[in-house]
Parts: sequence; C-alpha cells; structure tokens
Amino acid sequence: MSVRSDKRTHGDNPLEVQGLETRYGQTPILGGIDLSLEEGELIVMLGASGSGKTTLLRAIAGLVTPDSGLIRVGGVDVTRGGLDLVPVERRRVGFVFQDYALFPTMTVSDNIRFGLPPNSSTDRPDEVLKLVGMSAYGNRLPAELSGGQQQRVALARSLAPRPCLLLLDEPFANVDLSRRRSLGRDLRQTLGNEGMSTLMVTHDPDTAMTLADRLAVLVADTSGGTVAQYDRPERIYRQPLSREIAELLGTASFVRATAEGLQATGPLGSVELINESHGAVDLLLRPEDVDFAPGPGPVRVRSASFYGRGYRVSLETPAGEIEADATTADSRTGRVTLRGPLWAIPVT
Amino acid sequence: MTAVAASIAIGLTLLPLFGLIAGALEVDQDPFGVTTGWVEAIAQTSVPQLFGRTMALALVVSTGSILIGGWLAWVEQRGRLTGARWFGTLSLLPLALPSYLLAATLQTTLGPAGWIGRSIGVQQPFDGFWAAAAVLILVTSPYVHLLTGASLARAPAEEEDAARILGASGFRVFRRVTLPRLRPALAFSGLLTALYVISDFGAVATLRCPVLTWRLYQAVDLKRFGDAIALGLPLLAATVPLLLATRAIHGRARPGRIGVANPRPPTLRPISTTSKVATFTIYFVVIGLGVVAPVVSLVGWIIGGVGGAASFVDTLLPIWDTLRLAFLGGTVTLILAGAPAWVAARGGTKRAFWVEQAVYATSAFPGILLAFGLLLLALAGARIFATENAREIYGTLTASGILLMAGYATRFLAEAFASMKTAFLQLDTGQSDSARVLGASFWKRVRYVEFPAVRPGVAAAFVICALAITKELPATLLLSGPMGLRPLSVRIFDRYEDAFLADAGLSGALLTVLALTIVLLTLKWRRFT
Amino acid sequence: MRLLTFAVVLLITLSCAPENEATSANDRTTLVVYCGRSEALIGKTLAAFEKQNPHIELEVRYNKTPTLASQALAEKAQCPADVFWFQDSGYLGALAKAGMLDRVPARIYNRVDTRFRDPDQRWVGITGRLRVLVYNTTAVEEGDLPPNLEGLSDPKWMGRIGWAPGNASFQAHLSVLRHKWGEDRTRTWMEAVKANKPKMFPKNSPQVQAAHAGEITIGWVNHYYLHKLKTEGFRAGNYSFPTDDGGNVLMVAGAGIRKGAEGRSKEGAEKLLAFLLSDEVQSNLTKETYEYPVVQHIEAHPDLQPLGSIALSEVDQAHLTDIGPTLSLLRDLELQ
Repeated sequence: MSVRSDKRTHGDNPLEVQGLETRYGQTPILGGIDLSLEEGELIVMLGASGSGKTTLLRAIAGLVTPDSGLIRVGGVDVTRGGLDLVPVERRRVGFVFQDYALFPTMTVSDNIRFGLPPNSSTDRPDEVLKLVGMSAYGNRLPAELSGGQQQRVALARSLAPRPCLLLLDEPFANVDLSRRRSLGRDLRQTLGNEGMSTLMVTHDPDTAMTLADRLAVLVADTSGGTVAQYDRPERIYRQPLSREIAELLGTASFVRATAEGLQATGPLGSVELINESHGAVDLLLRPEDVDFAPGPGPVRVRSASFYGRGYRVSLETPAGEIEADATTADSRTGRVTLRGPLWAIPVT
Repeated sequence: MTAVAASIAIGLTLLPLFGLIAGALEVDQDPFGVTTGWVEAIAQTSVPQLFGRTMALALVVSTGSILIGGWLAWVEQRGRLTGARWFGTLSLLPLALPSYLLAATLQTTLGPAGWIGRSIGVQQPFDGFWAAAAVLILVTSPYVHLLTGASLARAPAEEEDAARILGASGFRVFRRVTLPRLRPALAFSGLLTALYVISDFGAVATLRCPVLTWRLYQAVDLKRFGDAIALGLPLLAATVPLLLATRAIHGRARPGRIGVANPRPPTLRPISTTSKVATFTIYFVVIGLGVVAPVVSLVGWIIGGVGGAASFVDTLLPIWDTLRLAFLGGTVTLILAGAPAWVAARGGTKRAFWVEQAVYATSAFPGILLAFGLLLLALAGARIFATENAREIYGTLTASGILLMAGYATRFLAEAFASMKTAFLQLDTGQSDSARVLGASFWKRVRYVEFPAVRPGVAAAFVICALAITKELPATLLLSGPMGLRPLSVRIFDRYEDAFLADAGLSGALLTVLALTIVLLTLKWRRFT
Repeated sequence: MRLLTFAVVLLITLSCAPENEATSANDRTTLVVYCGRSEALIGKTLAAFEKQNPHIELEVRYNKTPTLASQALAEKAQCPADVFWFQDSGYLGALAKAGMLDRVPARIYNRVDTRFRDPDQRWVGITGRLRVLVYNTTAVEEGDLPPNLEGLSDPKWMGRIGWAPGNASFQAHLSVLRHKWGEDRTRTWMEAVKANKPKMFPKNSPQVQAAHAGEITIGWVNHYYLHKLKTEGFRAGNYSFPTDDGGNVLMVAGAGIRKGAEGRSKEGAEKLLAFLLSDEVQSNLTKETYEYPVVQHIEAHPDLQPLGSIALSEVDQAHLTDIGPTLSLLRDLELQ
C-alpha cells in the first residue's frame, strides 16, 4: 500500500482527469471530476449507485464523449473540451466490464488473442492466462466457465495488449461475498506483478478499502457527481470530510457536541479531538470508538445482532442513537464512554 | 403436444397436395387443347432451368435484402447519423405494399414511358429477372431490416465496446463480434425472404420473369394439375437446401448471454463519410422506389381519372371485407401456429428441429396451388363421403370460408410461428414457478403471468399475419368469392387488369393505407416490448 | 390500447354475424355466376338485372376466365355455377365439350349473329372485342400502315412496333393464327417480327399510350383501349387490315347455362341471358364498354368502326383457347 511520491511528473501520469463534465440529455451525470493516477497505483473510486462511476470509466475509455474537461491517458490528451481526440481503439486502456463482455462464440484463447496484433508474440496469451491461473482453460467457451473464472479471463484479456491504464467496473459484483476477499487478493497480486496502473469503481466499501492505494469518493448532487475526497483509505475512513462520506465507508454514528480547540463537550461527556474545531460539531463514532459497559445506566439497548467476534448493538443514549460493539447482549441497559481522539465534522 | 404440432404443420402441407393429386388423377387432362402429354409437358417446361432461375432469384433477393436491410439496421442501431430515425422508418414502408402493386407501379414509372424512365432516358421496359429481383428486394428488405434491427438492439453492447477497447477496427468488431450475434437473425430473415421469393407470384408475373411459380399458375389455369404437381414439388424441394443453408449459417454455438443482464444502450459511433454517402444513397433509392414512386403513381391514376372517376363509397364494402378476412385469417393462423411454436420453443432440440422444418415447408406453396389444392380436396371429400348431395356439401364447404382460412393458415404459418416462437422463448419459468409457489391456479398463472409475458409476441404475430392476408391475392381471388366477399386486393386486380386505373389507384391507395396502419401498429408494439 | 381492444372485439362480433339475410326469404332464388369479365366493366349491368328481378339474387364469382373454367371442369356435377360468362368463348367450348353446358333456348340463341354463337347451341356471344393495330396518327399515314399482319415484318418498322406476348388476347390471336396459317408459317412470321425488335409491353393499355406519345408507331392490341383512354387531341388511332388474312379477329365473350340447372335456377339463368341480349342492354354494353354488340340490328358505339365495314376473319372461337402449343411457341422464341 504505497503512495509513490517520487514520480510526480504530471505529463507522464497514466491518467489525468480535469474538470470532466457529462450530461445525459438535460441531466448532469458528472459535474467536474478531477483525478490523477500515478504509475503502478491502484485507485478505487467508491460511490453509491447512480453517482456516475461507470460513466466516468466509459468516458476515459472513449465510449462516452464528455461535454467538457480534459482526459489524458499516458501523457496524451485523449479528450478535451467535449471533443474526442483519440478514438476508443487507440487509447491503450484496458477495460473489464461488470458483466465481463466475453465474446461468447470464441474460446478463452481466442478472446485473449483478439486484442493482440496479428504478428505479436505467440506466448502472450499463455502468459496472461498463467498470470490469472487459468492456463488449463484456453480451449473452453466462456459459457462453460464459472463467474469467477470468467472474470479472470476478462482480466487476462484486458492485460494481454499491455495497456497503460486498466479500468475495472465493479469487478466483484457477480462474485459470492465469501470469495471476494480471496479474489481481491489475487487481483491485487496480478496487477502488482504486471505493474499495472488501475482505476476501479465499486459501491462496496470493503472491496474499496482492502484494495485501494488511494480511494476517491464520488458523491452526486443535482449538478452531477464530483470527487468529494481523494486520499488513503485509512484516512477517509477515520477523517471523512462529510457525514455522507463517513456513511459510505461503513457504520457511522454521530453525536452533536461543542468543540473548543482539540476538546469537545457533549451529552456523553468530554472527549479529545483529532482536528482542531470550534462551535457545534458532529463527532464521528465508528463502533470501535465506543466502549459499552453493560449494567445499570442511562443507555438502553434497542437491538443487538451477533456477527461472530461479538455483538453490534444499537444504543439509545441521551445524545441520540449510536452503534457500538459489545461482548455480550444479555443486559438491556448500560453506560458508554467515548474513546478519543475523535473526528469532528463542523455542522453547516 | 409434439404430435399436435407436427400434424398441424404436416397436415397443412399435405392436404392441398392430396387435393392436387386427386385432381391430377381425373380423366380429362387436356380440356383446353394442350395437346402434349404431361410427361412431355414437364420436359418441355424445362423444370431444371426454371428451378435454377427460381433459386437464383431467391439467392439474389436474399443477398440483396440482407445487404440492404442489414446495413440500414446496423447504421441505425450503432451509428451516429442525423435523420436515421426518420429515414429508417420511411424505408420500412414498402412493407405495406403488395408485391403486385409495387411491380405494377414501378413498371409504369420506370419503363420508357414512365415519368422516371422518360426523364433518365430508359429504353428497355422494366421487366425480367433483374426487375423482379429489384422489386422483391424492395418488398423484403424491410423484414430483414426489422428483424436484424431488433436483434442488434438486444445484443449486449458491452461486447462491442470491449472489442473496440481492445483495439479492433469497426469492420473487425462487426465481423468477429457483432456478426456472430446477428447470425440467427440474418439466417432467419434470409430464409423468410427466400421462401417469400420462391412462392411469390405478383411480382414475377407482372414483370414477366419466368420462374416456377409463373409456370405453375399457367398449369393451374390450364387445368393441368399433373403439371402443377410436377412444378410444385421442386418448389417444396427448394426449401430443403434453404433450410440446410440456414442451419449452416447458424454456426456451432448459439451465443447465449453471459453474466448478469445489465443492459446499457449501445454506444453510437460516428460514421465515415463514405458510409454516410452509401447509407443515404440506399435510403434515397429504397424510399424513392419503394414509397414515393408507387404513391405518386397511385395518386396519378386516381387524379388522371383514366377509365372513369373512382368512387370512394364503392370501396367501403371491400375495405370491410378486407378487415374481416384479415381478422379471421389472422386468428385462425395464430391458433394453428401456437402448438408448433410451443414445441419449437420449449420442446427438445430434435423435435423442435423437425417441427420447424415442417412449418417452413408450408410456406413454399404458392397461393394458387394451395387454393386449388384445397378446392379439389373439398371436392374429392364431398364426392367420396356424400355421393347423394355432394354438390350441397361442396357448396357449403366453399361458402363457409374453411378453405380460405386453411389457405391463409398454410400460407402464413411460418410467419406467425416465428414471432410466437420468440415470444414463447421469452417465457420465464422462474416467474411461473414463483406464481405456483404463491398458490396461483393454472388459469391465474396463465392470465397474470404467462399471457402478459407472451402478449407482445403474439400480438406481433397476429399483426404480421393480418398484414400478409390484407395483401394476399391468388388464394383470396379463388376462395373469397364463394364466401360472398370482395376484398380490396381482388378489386385492385380486377380494375388494373382492365385499365380502370383511377379505381385501381384508389383501391391500391386504400389497401396501402390499411396495411400501413398495421405496419405502424407493429412498429409501435415493437417499441413497447 | 383499450380502444383498440374494443375495436377488435367489435370486429369479431360483426365478423361472426350471419352473412346474408336472404336465406330466410324463400321466394328468392340465388343465381351463381362464374364471371370471367371484369366487375368494373359489367358490374352495373348485373346490378340492373337484379333490380329488374327482385326475386333473383346474383352471387357473382369474378376471376380470370381460364381459372374459372379450370375450376368448373374440376367441379363437374358439383359446380355451383348456374351461368358462365367468360371473356373468351373458347373456354365455353371446353365446358361444352365436357358436357357441362345446357342447350340455350332458341328464342335467346336466335337473337345472336350466327358468326358469334356456338353452332351446337351450347353458348351465345354477348359482346365482341376486335384485334386491331393502334398507331400514332402523326408519325404515319393510314395508307402507309401494313396491309396485313405479314407486313409487320417489313424492316421499315424496325424498333417501331409494340406488342405484349404475355397478354391473354395476344396469345388467343396467335392461337387462331396457328390454326389458320399452320404452325410453320406462324413460327416463321413470329421470328420475322421479332427480328424487327418490337418493344415488349406487359399489357395492352400502355401500348395505346405509347403510340399516343410516339414511343412506338404501331401497337398490336384490342380495339377498345383506345376509346377508353382517348382524350382531346389524342394522337393515336385504330386500324383494321383492308383484307382478311387472320388479322381482323373478333374475340367473342360469351355466356352459357350449366347443364343440370333446374327449376328456378334454370329459369333465372335463361332470364339473365335474355336480359344480356336484349336490345337495351346490348346497346348499353357497347356504350359503356366500347365492345361490339352481337345482336345484328344493334348499332355499335358511334366511335367504333362498324363491324359491317371490316373484313372480319372467319374464326372458330375454340381455336382462340388452344393456347398450350402457343405457350410452347412463345417459350421457344423466348417471349414467355
């Protein structure tokens, strides 16, 4: 999980997006996207359904012509000011579609060979098949493979022509939850071995956080989607710029408090802050920020659900409802302490 | 179910054939002084040559239709081209014209004396093989256009996007990715076109292109049913290579859908100038010859008032008769096509294959052969089973319309079948199962789950049949009279034959408007599905 | 959509309503007519007959004459027709030969000119259509037109003739020539005319228009198209050959009564034939259709050249329908 800060020459970045806007008819889809991706980096773009993630990928690939803004792939301007300068087939990007879009009438090998020039080295298909662990399946038709296998073939097909940028659209949407982790690990390793610069979009925060070098959070309002925060996943998880971002990344509760420098005071007592703030703030409480002690107390347990390691409890406190972790679900009441320092989001 | 389906398809093929054989066995083979025996007649009519010319015409027309219809569908579904929507719809309108009407109007406009022919200095009359091919291409390419267009709209656009991103040129994407997807649609529409051509009479007779059907009509007119069978069997045989060819085009793997459906509108690509010019040239020719020229001709006939002014009131009854026949015939055809379509869609591969072959064989019958076959069958039946009052039984049979309905059903079974089969293929067993789990009775399931799912396809099948019946001439001409009906198609034939052009023009225009309404309804339904 | 459903249901209901209410009225007779003439031409005449005879209802089945004849011959005793009215009386001859026609009552039969009726009294002519040349009146003087059919092979007509070998009248005339001239002479003549590169037409009427427009100088047609198409300043005229060598053929459209028609049907059938041959109808028919009347004292339409002034070819009407070998000949010459 490295951010390579040594190669900051903008012109050669595999991807550079500035002020990208698209509309569908009168409806704005993307409202000015700025994004840059460095060599070998895996960027995950996280956004709710309908925030314009796929449209962004399609614009980068050249399948959608944006209305304004700049896209630069591998240092070459491919789209500027609403004009496509380089057509799809010459952009040198790889694209793995959500449904994989394998050619159903061609074998796995033929699918992979499709993107290679006719006189290219003959062992590249075998090479990429080996890379994704599918060497034994070259002669199969796509319909004869499982969903996970199809995904790996689609990945191998995109990697075969050595694109300078790989785009992944919800790669695990069609994969069982239980297999996502291991597939994600394999994917990261494959991409790392190829040194591939990758932009992936997903709506699943777990995938996003486990895979991303950097995470871009896409938030849409009436003027279209924009990148609301672009940073390392840990940082966005702990220090989101808005409540909306906080909720996108996982369970989050908020309590109102009054901040004074690095200290905040509210109905649940005083607590240390990560960020210096003044006035009314919302304190972000991840479940792990709350200690719940069962027994008599002012806090009532509304519900509890077991998730293996412990319980996730929903608590009714004087400051409102919060989610916390608990080791037991026997008690109906208890008391809470907040574990600082906490992240304060100013109330607007 | 298979047995029912097979007996419908095979029965509809064999019944008229039995009738013809019964007619051929009659003693007075030579009432009109056709002095040669029928064995010599077959040798003389040079069946192989006629067969060859028929197949050549079918080949030329299917190729032309697939090129034109396929190209237009492709440009409209995948290209960024202003006006394609309007021109596309206009170019589908020849669908509404019966082939004899288009042939007649083009003959008068494109010949040396016609307004187009004269202005470009045509010396030769518009007739013969190539004229017939041109007219038939105009009439059939909308079918290919529609079927291919629908198939392109359904094909997952991501596959083409993926191919482009992998660096493939437009042509390579088409050849390697799109074409394999289109194969079934192209093969099927090519087959329908070829069947249309080998059984068409209107265009080849008007334009004097000597093919099997034309000779066959003469044979029937001369009451030489033996000759008719000798000429009709090669027609039936002609469907076999067509069906085999279709199998070959279908390719090995029927492309299914992979992954989860998440349909996205296809990416429209800019089109090269050459392609634009080609596309608009095709639009210009197809719309000019298939729509403008016939309409101008018809209007010219009406206004010219040649042969006495036309009266609209006189055509009201024919319009009503046309509507009734279309409705009844469409219903009967639909009911009969139901079982074979069900078996082809839901039965095992092998059964489905044979039922399909039998269904397609029915449409090889030209209308007149069919009509005469059915008439002779009714006659033979009445004579054998009711010697006492054979005349009354025969009269009742012909007047009841059973024969005409059987004729329509045979003639258009394949068309109804194709549309209904697609509808049945789209039935989702999951939905039926979940309805069953929810405790729905059989009728409730049919009513709320299955019928709504197949309704668009069934409606389309009905409309297609109704349209075809509206335009059908030879069987209608022979068999609607005893029912006391005089539909528009018959009126056009009658008036055109004796140069009452104003009336022929009016009836033709009315028929076209009627057919057009049906076409537009089809297009509308297609949009909803 | 609801409106459409309603319309469809309405259509079903109406479609299934009983066809004719006449069945209830016992005093009405239905007369079935197999009619090879165009409804456009004679529909009015038949309507007038129905009006005059309210107790008779006509059920007319229009189609091409050969088709109707074939159908009748196949149907034999089961044939529902009471009356046959055919474009070419030769097909009536075929029915007569098969024993399907009853003798026409003398009072009707005797009204018809002896040349235009069956010697065996099985059918009578109703009207006649004359084979003529149509010519462009500005391009050629009447005196310079060919003196007989043979004249059409004169090289001076190279590229100036029109003909329609697919047309039934053309084929009928050729069949007559085969019998009059013999097969060899007919073939030689056809080949000679063909060498003059005549323009092919699908049917007769466009030839008349082409003659008017000067695209052809001569067309070989039936006489009445000219009169139908003629307008002020029309530059085409009809021409009959001055002498008879098989060129001036009158094709007789005729009618007959089915053998086996009895009682009211037979009565009605005879009534219809008598009606068609009445003075009034004969003169109306020539006025409306420009065809020649067959009752001797009725005068033809004033625009027509009177039959008396034409050297009509003597023709056995049966020869007009002997088109089997004619079709073979046309195929040999690649005209069919």
